[in-house]
Amino acid sequence: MAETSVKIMQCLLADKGILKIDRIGVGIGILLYNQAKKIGIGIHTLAPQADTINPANPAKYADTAVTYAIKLFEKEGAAPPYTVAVAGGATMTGSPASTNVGLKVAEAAKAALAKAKLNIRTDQTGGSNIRSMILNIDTGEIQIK
Amino acid sequence: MKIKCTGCSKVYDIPEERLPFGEIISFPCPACKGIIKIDLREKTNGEAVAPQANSAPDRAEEEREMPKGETLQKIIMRRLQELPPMPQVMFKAREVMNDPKSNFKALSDILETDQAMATRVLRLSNSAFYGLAGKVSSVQHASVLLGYKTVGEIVSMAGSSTLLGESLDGYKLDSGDLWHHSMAVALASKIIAKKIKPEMENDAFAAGLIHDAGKIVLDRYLRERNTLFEEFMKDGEKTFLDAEKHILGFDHSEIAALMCQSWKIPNTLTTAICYHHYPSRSRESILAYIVHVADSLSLMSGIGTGIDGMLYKMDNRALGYLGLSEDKISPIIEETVDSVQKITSQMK
Repeated sequence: MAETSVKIMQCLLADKGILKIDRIGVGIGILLYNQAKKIGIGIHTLAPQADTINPANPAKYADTAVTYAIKLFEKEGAAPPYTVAVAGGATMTGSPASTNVGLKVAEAAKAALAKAKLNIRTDQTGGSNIRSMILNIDTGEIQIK
Repeated sequence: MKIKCTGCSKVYDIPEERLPFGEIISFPCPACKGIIKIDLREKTNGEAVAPQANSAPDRAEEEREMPKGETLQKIIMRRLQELPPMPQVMFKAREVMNDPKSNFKALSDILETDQAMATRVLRLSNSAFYGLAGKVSSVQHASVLLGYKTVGEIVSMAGSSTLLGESLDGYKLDSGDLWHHSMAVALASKIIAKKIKPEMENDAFAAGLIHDAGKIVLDRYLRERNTLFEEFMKDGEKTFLDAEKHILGFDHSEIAALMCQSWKIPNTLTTAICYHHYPSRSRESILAYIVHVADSLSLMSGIGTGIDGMLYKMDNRALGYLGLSEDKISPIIEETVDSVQKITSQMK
């Protein structure tokens, strides 16, 4: 089965097989799925907000990554509803509060999704786990480990 | 008959005529030295009992009997000589990086004798990170375009990719994971040093690159004691570092320090590597604090991070000691990830 692997600060679209986001730490993994077109998008973003409207890599920031992903869907002729799952935003156990980057990225990702009127179906953010997300493009099934 | 070692998962095909059916036998696994136990007693229907490695409780009991603490450290020290030596080219690279008067030709001469290494150096030189994609045609050419210090850094990365690139099953790290993590820590250490102590950039990079080398040595001992490690870590709240100390009596940073001594690495780097998990015990080694923070931020990013990556603890004093404010954390993580991805994209 074809596997599309999304790396950190990447946003990729897949139309078959498995779409996978591995090792999500303080960053946020976002999976978007369109049942009608059977296409999915995976984002692994690392920072909360971009300080410019058109950053060199829109997948780096939660706010621009969501906008970029919606445009990718639209290019493929897809329209809402989309199934949305988010995971990550972890905190290192016992680390100083000032290093709580994950919380800020998670908040920014959720705000960007809310702004785009996309409801989150599965939310596994916070905690102290390294997570992986898997989307089966054929069935739309999402697993978070 | 196929027999699998539960310690290292190696499978042995033993001719049946050599097996003493009707008995329970045990022998050391040639690969990991763990004990393989097979029940060859016959069942009532006359069939041989399928060979099984010893049960979990038996296995755990055997693993508890294995050497630990000082005894194990002595065994490891004897075996350190069996380790792959640190590539000579990395020593030379460090010399070149630290001494502007040193002879760059000596470094390129070594590289000419190691074609695989020279190829890796060229690939890295042509990565997007250095902004010269497709323009560097030889190591000499790289030194002209990038400068001897940068080439020294590239040679260190290329040299460590073999040493750190193997999978470490005991730590549940796939092939390339430790190297990616080490690259992230090296680059994050350099970024931090550049902000607070620019003269330490080269040492910070070198210490970050080999900070976890002790894991290469300890991996076999973790595999041998797999049952104990899994049992100790099953609640998902303990790190391999906790488990090493509890089960072996010491941890990978202590072993890395021994390796550094055997590799004749200078004391400043050895101290930083030895205390990268506990910088406050380092007698105020700035380098130890730099590598500690770089390690924590790299683990947070997820690059090459193992299953226990978010369970480590960052020293509460570390950021203040280095004068790093909260707003610097995110940009350091972003720059580190960006740098690692640009560099490694050329190595596939």
